[in-house]
Amino acid sequence: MGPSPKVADWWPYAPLLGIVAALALNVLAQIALVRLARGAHFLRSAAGGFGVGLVALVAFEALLIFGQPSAGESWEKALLVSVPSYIALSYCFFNFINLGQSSIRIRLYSEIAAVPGGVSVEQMAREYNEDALMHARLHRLTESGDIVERDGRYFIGRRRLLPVAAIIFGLKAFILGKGSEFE
Amino acid sequence: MHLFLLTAAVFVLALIVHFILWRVRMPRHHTSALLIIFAVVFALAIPLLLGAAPGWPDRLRIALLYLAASLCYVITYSAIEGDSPTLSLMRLLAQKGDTGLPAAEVDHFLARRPFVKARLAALILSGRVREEGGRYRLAGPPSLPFQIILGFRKLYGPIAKGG
Repeated sequence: MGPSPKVADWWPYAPLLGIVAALALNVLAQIALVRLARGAHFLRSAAGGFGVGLVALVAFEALLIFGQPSAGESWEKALLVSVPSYIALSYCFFNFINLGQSSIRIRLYSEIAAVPGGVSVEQMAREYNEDALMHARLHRLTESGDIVERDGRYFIGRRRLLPVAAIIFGLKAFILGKGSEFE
Repeated sequence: MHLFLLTAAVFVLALIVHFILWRVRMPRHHTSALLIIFAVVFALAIPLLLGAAPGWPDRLRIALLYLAASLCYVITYSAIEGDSPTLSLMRLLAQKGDTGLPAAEVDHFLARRPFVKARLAALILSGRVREEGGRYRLAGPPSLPFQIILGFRKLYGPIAKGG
């Protein structure tokens, strides 16, 4: 006994709904994980949410494909279309939540919006001290071993960010024709 | 395989149009221009897609993958367009090799990249914030994209002040 005619009409759309449902699971799992950790381990929660959605998507696709005569073609579509679509949408979601988490621009805007009369220039400069931010950045980089401080000089440490920098600056040079917005 | 290749072909075509247009004349609003390019190229490719993918489920899968890939590119483009002080410093230190860089020069290098000032200037330039009488104020009603981001952010808990 197969699916009824009406269900059969909608059956081919099930993989599309699977992608949307997997993304929804990703969102819900990420919120649950970040709340469970009381706002900490943001990156871990994003990775966890992504993993939950991906496992659910692959399981759903396997259920849809199981027993189908054209299973090979269906797996091909699942791996080359559904999974990349889910990964791409998850990347968009991650960037969206990351804006609220780490974007200075969003933080500045929210603080200005929170006070009806606005925020004084001095208060903003005090709360977002450029000098303190600069030293916090250097401290973070030395703590992680990405840069090394020795005898009053800085050297390159771990080289893991260099490929990222090479790609970003290579693309910048290719697309925008410049290496840095300060050049 | 053909659904993936079709989508990739249309996506690459949109990228080629984008690269050519950027060489000819850089648009003022990069993000809007990119979104228009991706939408127009897809619209022009619709007759080809209708012929190559006969069923609606496959057509919608192509549309979803194309939309997701386009949004990914637009998001990544903002990282390319901006300037990360961390990556800039890493690149400079890698170029300096064993000689490294004196701490004072590193301070000067980062001071030339005023992170907060640049973001405040961008908010003012975009017309979302204005500086008036020594205070930063919202210019007009709160922006919808900002409200959506902040609304979602509230699901996690309070936002800490300062950097």
